[in-house]
Amino acid sequence: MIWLVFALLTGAAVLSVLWPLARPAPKAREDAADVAFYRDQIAEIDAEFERGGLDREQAEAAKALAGRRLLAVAPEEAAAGSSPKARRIAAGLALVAIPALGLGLYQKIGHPDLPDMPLEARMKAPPAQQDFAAVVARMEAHIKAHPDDARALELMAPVYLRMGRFDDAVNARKKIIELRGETPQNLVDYAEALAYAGDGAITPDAEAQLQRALKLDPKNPGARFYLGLGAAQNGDKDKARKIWSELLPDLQGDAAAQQEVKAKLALLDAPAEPGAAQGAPPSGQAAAIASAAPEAQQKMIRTMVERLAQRLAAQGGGVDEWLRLIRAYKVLNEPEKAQNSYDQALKALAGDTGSREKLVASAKDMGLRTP
Amino acid sequence: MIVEVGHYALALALALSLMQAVLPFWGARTHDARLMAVARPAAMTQFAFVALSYAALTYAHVVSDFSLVNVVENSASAKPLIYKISGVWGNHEGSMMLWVLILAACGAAMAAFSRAIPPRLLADALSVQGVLGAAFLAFILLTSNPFARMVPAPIDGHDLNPILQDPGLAIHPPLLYLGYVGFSIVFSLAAAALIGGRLDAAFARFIRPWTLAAWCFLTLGIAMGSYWAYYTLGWGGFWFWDPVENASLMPWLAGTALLHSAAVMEKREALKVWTIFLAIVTFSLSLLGTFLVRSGVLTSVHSFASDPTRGLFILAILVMFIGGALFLFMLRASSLKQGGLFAPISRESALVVNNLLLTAACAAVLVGTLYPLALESINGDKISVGAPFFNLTFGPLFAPLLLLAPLGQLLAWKRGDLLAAAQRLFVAAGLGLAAMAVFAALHGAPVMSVVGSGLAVYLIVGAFVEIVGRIFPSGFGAAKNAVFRARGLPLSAWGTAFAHAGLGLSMLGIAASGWGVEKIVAMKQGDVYDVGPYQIEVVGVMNKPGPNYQSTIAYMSVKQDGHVVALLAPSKRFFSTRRMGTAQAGIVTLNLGQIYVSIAEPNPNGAIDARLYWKPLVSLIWIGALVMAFGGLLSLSDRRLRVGVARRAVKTQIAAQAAE
Repeated sequence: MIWLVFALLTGAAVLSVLWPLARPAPKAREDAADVAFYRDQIAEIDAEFERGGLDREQAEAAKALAGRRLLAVAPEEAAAGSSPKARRIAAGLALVAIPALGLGLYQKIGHPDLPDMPLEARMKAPPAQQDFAAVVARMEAHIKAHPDDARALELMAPVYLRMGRFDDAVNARKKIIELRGETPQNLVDYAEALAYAGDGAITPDAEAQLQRALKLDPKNPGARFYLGLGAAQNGDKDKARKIWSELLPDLQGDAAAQQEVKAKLALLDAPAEPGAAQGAPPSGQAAAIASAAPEAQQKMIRTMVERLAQRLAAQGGGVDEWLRLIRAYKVLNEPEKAQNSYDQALKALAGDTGSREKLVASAKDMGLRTP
Repeated sequence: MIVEVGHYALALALALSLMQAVLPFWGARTHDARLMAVARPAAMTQFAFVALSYAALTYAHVVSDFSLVNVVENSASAKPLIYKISGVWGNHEGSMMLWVLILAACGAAMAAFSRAIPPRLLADALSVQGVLGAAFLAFILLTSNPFARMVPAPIDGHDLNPILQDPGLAIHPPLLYLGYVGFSIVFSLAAAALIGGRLDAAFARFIRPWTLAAWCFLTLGIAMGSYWAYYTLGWGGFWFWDPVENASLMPWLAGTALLHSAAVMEKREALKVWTIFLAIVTFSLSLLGTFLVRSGVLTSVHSFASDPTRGLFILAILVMFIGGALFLFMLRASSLKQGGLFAPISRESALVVNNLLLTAACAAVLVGTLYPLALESINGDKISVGAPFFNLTFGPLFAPLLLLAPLGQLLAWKRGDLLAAAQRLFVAAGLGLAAMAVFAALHGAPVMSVVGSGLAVYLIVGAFVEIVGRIFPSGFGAAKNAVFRARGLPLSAWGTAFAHAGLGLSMLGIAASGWGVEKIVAMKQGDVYDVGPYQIEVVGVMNKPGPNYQSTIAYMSVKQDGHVVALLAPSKRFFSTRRMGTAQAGIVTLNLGQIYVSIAEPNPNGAIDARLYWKPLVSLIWIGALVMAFGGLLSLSDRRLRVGVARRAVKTQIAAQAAE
């Protein structure tokens, strides 16, 4: 449909050039305007004389002047018809250049496949066809109108987490507790939201919520898991190990959760790597790697590193991501790739002096060739 | 689909504008009538495509299509409809679209209404118009695309800058752009005359309607912008010598000079080359204004966003057109036929003096605007060239202009009698002096206000002396046939009188600003303040929600001798989307003066800081601009050919003709 409209528009544009080329040539003389001008002038002088604005002598003198200028108009013939060759070239140009330019340029900057998205239509579309933002907006409007609808809040809280709107998630969880009272699950969810809002750290506030959940349900696995994480973050490895080891047997029947906890335990024993899993909330990938056999482990790590390398090469990234890549290659014992990545990073971060300095300093520590 | 169709139409408009640039130009060089005939339909179709594209963008704004970056960044679903429509040009991309839309409309208008223009001149002019269109369309599509999409689309936008959410936005930019871009036609015709090397006698007649129309729009646009700044910025100033304002004043000054020199050219065939030069300069200054405002060189409410690639692109356009036109002028000007001789004391000479003063004033503004920018780019020093500089340079150049305007109207063409003309101005001068005495007695100092108001009265009265003289050729006693003669006078004569009188009115309003009264107070309910001849009582303060803002409104009554003469409701608005506030001044016009009140946020103790002003005669500034534009309109509606007939000394005239 849209291509039909495009075709019609292109046709109209081309026709507007072809049409005058096909018609008989207009025959206007180049000097006609000047001749008409002086004739008008003489007529105007006569009219002014009739009105009494001029006396006879003035009018005659002015008319004589205009008459002389009229005679002096440089004669210039009308333009000739036109040579068939010029017409053919012009027509060809219009036929080729207009669609080529229009479509060529549009191809580069346009989005023919994107439909219009008027707000009202987005909001009114049947739920299945609604885009995510519209659903969120509708839910938020609903919550604004019904601030006590705990069910809506429970739907939205995880959505907020997924959208990175952690503060909104915290507020939603807090409101749910106000509305529904303190249950272990509510408290753990609240603590989780607080942890996300605090960049993954189990803050004292979050820990307080977890302790309350534990008071209500001493066996609550979620609360115990996060309390263990909090202990690990505080450097209390023994406490973390104790909490998590006791948690493991209670997770019978939930393989994924078990693996997650095992991974955490494994990481406790692994040499500390700055900024890695310890501080961040549990990640499924880290858990999967930790639980794999050593050989498979190596392979998985390699794939991850390659993926990171590809992403950085394609989209660029911050200095920390580049350093992670370089360090990974060093750990994997591939000094050539490490050096290559370092050179790439230098280029990618060319405009950012601060990052470059950090990069060069770290590279020196790792024994890479630096300029 | 509508959005993408609009996007494609814009790309097609670019392709068409290139055709319009190339084929007619080629035809004009090879005397090929068919190729030249391409110009007209191409210009009209190009306009149709740009209009389609503009309509699509407006549609996207109206229905809040947040898949367009431009809509997201400058609109919000809760914004009132009028600002959804006017908000289209309330941002960088959209304002360039409006610019190109008007440019294309000008091209189409020239194609439609210029049957009398010789074919080769028209072909070249439309070709230049095509190059202009291509340059700006490429600028839009490559650096400032309003149709850029955003997926996934957010659910609401960032809203329009609250300062722009004002009826002024609906009026000021279109008027100003019609003025700026209207001069493009004059520019194209001048460039075409230079390209063709043939300057028709009728040239001045061809450019007259376009010059007048553009000048009227520019006058109204500047006045509207000034009034908008006056009521929205909250401290009652109406002109700030801000670079953006200067950018609009410069084309106005050059355009005014052009208007006058074109009159000389049409009536007397003199000042031909100068007229061509002014036509180029006027539009060049419009382009310079666009560059200053759109490139991000200046930061102001007008510049929206700055992006170095855009600045470079516009600079390239600027250099290409101004440089190209001036180069062409240098090559061809000497070969253009000069005509029309005149004595040192004549209407022509008076208009030459007018032109020199106007261009000198324009140069002063140019220096004052560009010098700080140049200095900053060379050594980083930020200096501010403000009112003192312009008062010292622009003022002394403009004052003699006001003195000479009535005199010039009274001088005869070709050779005039200065003494006789001056004698006829005795009445105007006398009334001016009397006005000075009256104003001095009523208001006293400052001296500049007294002198300025006297000058203004002289200018207003003087503007009509010539007309009155033509209606009553032998004194007021002989009123017979006066009505007949008044109706017989060309409308252009009335137009001149009104335009000059309008300038006088504006002058009077500006001069009277010296007598204003200003009070800064922390007011509470029930307070009464004396401001000039009036008392202002604070009746109450209230909070009220608007469609997309919260406002605090202070209700006040204005009393004179105990009677309430007016009510005021200045307010402060807070827009939550942008977390920005705006002030809505409370203004009421009394006896041509205005009471002006603007309030700030309430203090914690409940008092509200407010500025109260009494500004005598201030409304005349803008009424004067309306009268000026009305004069221009009168002149525009006069389609008669203008003849300037020398009125005296027929014998010497013949001698002069022999010399021609």
